[in-house]
Amino acid sequence: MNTSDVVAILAENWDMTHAEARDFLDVITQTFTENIASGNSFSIPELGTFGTTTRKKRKSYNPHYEQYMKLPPKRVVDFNPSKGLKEDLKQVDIDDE
Amino acid sequence: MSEKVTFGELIESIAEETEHSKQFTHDFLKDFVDIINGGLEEDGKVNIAGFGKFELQRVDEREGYNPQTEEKITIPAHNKVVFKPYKDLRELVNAPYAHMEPQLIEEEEKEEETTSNAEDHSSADHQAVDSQTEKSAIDSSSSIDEDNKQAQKEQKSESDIPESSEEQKLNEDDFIPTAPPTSHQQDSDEDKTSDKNQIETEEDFPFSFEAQQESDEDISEASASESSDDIEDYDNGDIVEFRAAASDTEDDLLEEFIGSEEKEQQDETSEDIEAVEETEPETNEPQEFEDKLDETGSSEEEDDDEEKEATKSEEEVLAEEVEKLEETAQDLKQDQQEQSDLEDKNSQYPTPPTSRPSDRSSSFSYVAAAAIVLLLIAGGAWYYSTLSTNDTTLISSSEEPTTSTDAAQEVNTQQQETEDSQESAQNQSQASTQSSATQQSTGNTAPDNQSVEIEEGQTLWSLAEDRYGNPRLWPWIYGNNGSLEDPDLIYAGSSLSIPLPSGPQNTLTSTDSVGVAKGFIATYKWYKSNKQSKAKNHLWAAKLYHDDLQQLADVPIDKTDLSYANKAR
Repeated sequence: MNTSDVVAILAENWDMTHAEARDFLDVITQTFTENIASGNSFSIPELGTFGTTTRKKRKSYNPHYEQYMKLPPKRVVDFNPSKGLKEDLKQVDIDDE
Repeated sequence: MSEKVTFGELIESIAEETEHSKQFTHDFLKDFVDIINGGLEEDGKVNIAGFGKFELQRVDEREGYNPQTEEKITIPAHNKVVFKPYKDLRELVNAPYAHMEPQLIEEEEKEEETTSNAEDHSSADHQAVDSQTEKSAIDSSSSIDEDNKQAQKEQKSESDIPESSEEQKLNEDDFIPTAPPTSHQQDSDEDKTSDKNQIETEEDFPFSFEAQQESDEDISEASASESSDDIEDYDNGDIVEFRAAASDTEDDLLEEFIGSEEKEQQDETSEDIEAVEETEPETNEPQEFEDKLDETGSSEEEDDDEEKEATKSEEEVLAEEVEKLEETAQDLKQDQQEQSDLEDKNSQYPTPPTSRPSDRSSSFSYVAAAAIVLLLIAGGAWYYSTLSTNDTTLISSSEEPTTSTDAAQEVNTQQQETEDSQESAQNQSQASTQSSATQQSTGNTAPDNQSVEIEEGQTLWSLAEDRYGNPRLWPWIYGNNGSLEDPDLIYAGSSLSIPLPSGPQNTLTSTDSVGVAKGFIATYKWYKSNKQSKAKNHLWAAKLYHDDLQQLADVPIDKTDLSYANKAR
């Protein structure tokens, strides 16, 4: 399912044009992005919690140079689905596309 | 930063931004979540542009363990929901570490690397210095001084940067000896050289999101420019998973080291620090350490005296101590040896990894073969190009006597390059002097030029398309006319000198490419001086035509732009 599909459904449900719904969605996305990027964590009911964690630096192997390499620490987005979401989707059949 | 934002606050900010009511945004958001839910159920994935995608992933059945009942459980196969952020979000989130890149390490140093892992995973309890670990503590003494020195430097840079997040605090000192090295040596002496190089990058550390937002572009450019510097160790900026507290002053470090434990350990560690001193005499620690050493040395003598009076068990204990001290002395000597070895290695560290000895001979032959092939190709290309230019110069020189005395002439704009030998004899520069003859006769290797008067509706793009078949080569024309200013504004009626390709149609010889690259550099310069952000794209394009841009430019090129040009490929 793509953004446009989501936007279509939203526009229909809320009696907006596609453009309006898209804009609204963009604002939501932007707010999420800003908060995540500044390290804040927040949770959306029935969806999950967004936050950041830091991956430690670690040793890895570069097959091209056939040498070990050090990977730097990395800050990543952390998403924990909420219980409802998890439960609902636990046993769904995943289509192979 | 790093705070918990409530759902209500989110709703508030969204409602404010979209100028809808809070209730509306609340409902809208809930609906959005429902749609995601439905989409996942239906398709297994939902993409939200500009944000990320939610996906269902399959988890295989596995055995679990119920810790309460202590029985084994089978966790059935199921799905889990994952969120994968898209590039923009990823990069924003990783901004504090954006300047770091992976580094290759030599295999011999692999062992040292394991210590870093051990260190990372070891507990933050630095108080528990066991006597068992003393020997290893001694071994690591050589690296301790670097840690201290590193701490020194990072403290200095830290004081310059206002702290604003926990993670920033954690970043500074990877190797503060907060945890005792257990059975591994502490991490690498390679940090030493990197420390010195890394100071600049630390100070450039983006530390607040507001700053980032304002200067996102700057940061990306800065990181681009620094990435080439930062191929060295990045350990400076690493997260320290243990306590951040261990960073405030050197005295604190000392205290941690010396600790509040038994004096025995104190003796040991102070000797370590003495060894540290011998190798790094520049730190401020010497005096303190030496003082302490003096104290402990004298106390040891007293101990020895007491030994005779003491019971046998005490004697044994002290004898062990003495043994250990002797061992440490030997180890210290060894360490100094290792230290100097490692220093040698460190000096080489920043360079790219060299091939192993076994590969050298074979790689050399490959290099030689490649060089020969390249020479042949280059020779062929040169020969070919001289062939074609010879033709044109022959023709042009014959034309010269008849045309050299001509005044400024209108020129037909529709002729093809190779047929333009007649016109090419004339070369009108933009300054409207007629130095055509001189340029023509000397142009064995220089491309020919065609002078053209601009008609209304013509652009550099359209002219390039006419002449070269590729409108993207328009900067070549621009570069060939020194007095042109804004490449987006050329005026009808003015004359242009259009360089012609010296090779066959629709190909660029190497000299042509140089000309094109110079043209791009010229456009880059103009856009840069007029503060247009597309300037660096032109520099990037220049690199497509010629590698060494700095060589072609007569003034130094801005470093960030140059690295942008070099990097984004």
